[in-house]
Amino acid sequence: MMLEVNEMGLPEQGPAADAPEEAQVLTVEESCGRLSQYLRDILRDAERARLDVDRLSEPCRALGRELEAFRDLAAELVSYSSRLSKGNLSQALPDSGSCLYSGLKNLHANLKHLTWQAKQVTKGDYAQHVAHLGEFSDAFNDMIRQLREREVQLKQEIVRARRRAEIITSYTEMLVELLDQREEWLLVVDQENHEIIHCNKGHRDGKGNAAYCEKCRHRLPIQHRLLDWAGSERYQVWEVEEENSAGCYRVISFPIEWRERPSFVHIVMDVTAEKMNARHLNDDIYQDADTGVRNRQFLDEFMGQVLREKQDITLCYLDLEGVADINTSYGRKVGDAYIQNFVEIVRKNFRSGDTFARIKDDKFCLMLTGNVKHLIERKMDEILTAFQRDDDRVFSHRCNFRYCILEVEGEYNVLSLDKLLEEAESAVKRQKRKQRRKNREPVDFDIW
Amino acid sequence: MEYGEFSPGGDNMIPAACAEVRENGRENLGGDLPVAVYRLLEYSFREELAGRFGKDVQVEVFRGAGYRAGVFFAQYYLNLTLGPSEFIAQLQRRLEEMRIGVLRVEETEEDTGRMVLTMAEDADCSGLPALGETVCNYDEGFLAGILSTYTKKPYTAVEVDCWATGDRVCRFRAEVQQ
Repeated sequence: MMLEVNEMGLPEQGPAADAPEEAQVLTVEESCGRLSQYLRDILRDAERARLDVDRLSEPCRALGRELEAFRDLAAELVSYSSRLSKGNLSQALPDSGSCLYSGLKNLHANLKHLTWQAKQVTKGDYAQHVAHLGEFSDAFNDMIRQLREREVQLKQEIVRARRRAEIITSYTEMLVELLDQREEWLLVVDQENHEIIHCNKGHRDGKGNAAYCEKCRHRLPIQHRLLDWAGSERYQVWEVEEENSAGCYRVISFPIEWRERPSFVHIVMDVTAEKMNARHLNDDIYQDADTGVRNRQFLDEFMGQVLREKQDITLCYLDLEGVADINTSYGRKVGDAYIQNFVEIVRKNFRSGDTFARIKDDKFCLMLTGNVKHLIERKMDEILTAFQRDDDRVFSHRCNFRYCILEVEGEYNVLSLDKLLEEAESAVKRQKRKQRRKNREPVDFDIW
Repeated sequence: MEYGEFSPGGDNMIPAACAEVRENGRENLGGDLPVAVYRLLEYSFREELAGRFGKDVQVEVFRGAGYRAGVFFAQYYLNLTLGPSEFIAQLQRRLEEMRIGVLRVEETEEDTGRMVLTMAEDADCSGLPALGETVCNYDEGFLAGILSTYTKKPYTAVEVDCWATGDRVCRFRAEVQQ
């Protein structure tokens, strides 16, 4: 019987494969042909190969039965090798002792052993060694050796990393301890929720909280400025004043990863005293020792900056009259008091931010930002009234001063301070001459 | 004494000099012997014992002898202080170095101590024609002796597949005696 084969080379189901042919015993020659065909069917597809032994001629039936046993063996072998190829290692080993199984059984045993070894390796057991499996042995053993070496390296690296971490931790503790002893504030602020997560003046454990901060005697008046700070620079030094200008602080801020939280560190130094000292130092240099107002040096530097920056400013040149007469009549102390009184009255009528300077002897200068001539004129009338009211009782000499107001438009001004003062002084002198002529007094340009 | 009750260091009569025989007395021939000679000895004993005392006694004698040999082997050739994995690896190396066989592990159960081991190219049966029965009774005792000595627990090993039953490796199921 011929086994029908489909396009895929597989035997077809149906009459050609399974249907019994007419129950007629074959001749020896036909039986041999049938057996040959049966053997080919077995080799092609053992599972479907069929043989009707009873139809074979008598001498061929024993061979037919042996071929049937061979067919069962081959079918089992195909099934076994198929399951093995899919990695099914838990299947039972075939009972047959045929040599056809030997290689597969060996392979099966080796795969089971290698599976066990691989499991051991995954547990970190690098004592595994494969022998007598050709190139696979070399590759596997190389892999184990490399894994073992890497494990050793990693363990060494872990030891080194732990040692480094211990050192860093000890340094950090020491650093924190040192910082806790410092006068500066050290605040660590969470970038996301703006909470203080460390403060060197807070609890011993360094954890600040809102309730504690409220009653902390070290509480920073500028704390809210620090909590709101969101600088993007890597490192920033900035200064901040209290709202009432009572204190001034210099802050060094930078981002940091603090206990796995993105944070800002603020190191805060109280520089109030430093600023005040600087301020006093400036006062000594730029202050007139007799009157306490700014001196000529300050005026020069201040006006230099104003003119460079082309600011609009109003300059009022003041010439105090009668100083020489008072000095002669009453002595220099009285003359100084006369000047001091004049200065106090002027100061009271202007803001602390306005600049009032003594140029020399009885010459003064007021400077107000912007063009405010009308304002100064009004103020000058008030000042003159107050000046003459206060001092009429003290001096027989009539208290008086003369002034000249110049509005300087920064954009168009080309005159220097000296030129401006010269112009103002000339104007005042003209006023004096005019007054003398009016009083029929002889003109004396060198009265001072 | 029954198999499995052997007490290392008790009535073990194997002279310690066995371990050094390769070094002394065979200056010219050396310590190696052809497998054929080993098998000649083994199978002649097998026949004689079976003929005189029956098959069961012969099997028990071979297991007992293998057990003694296993204990001796473990004591003289193995480092018993190693961890389980290192010990198995060491045992594999030793068995290969001494041309006893290629030992492989297929399964282990840490909680029960049960193991499935295979021995390829073993001296007892590799290459023999199929005899229809397992014949490595000596190896059963040998492996049990080694494992008992190492674990200090009474191990038994039973051969479930053998070259003589048509397989290409000898497979042993070893477990602690309850």
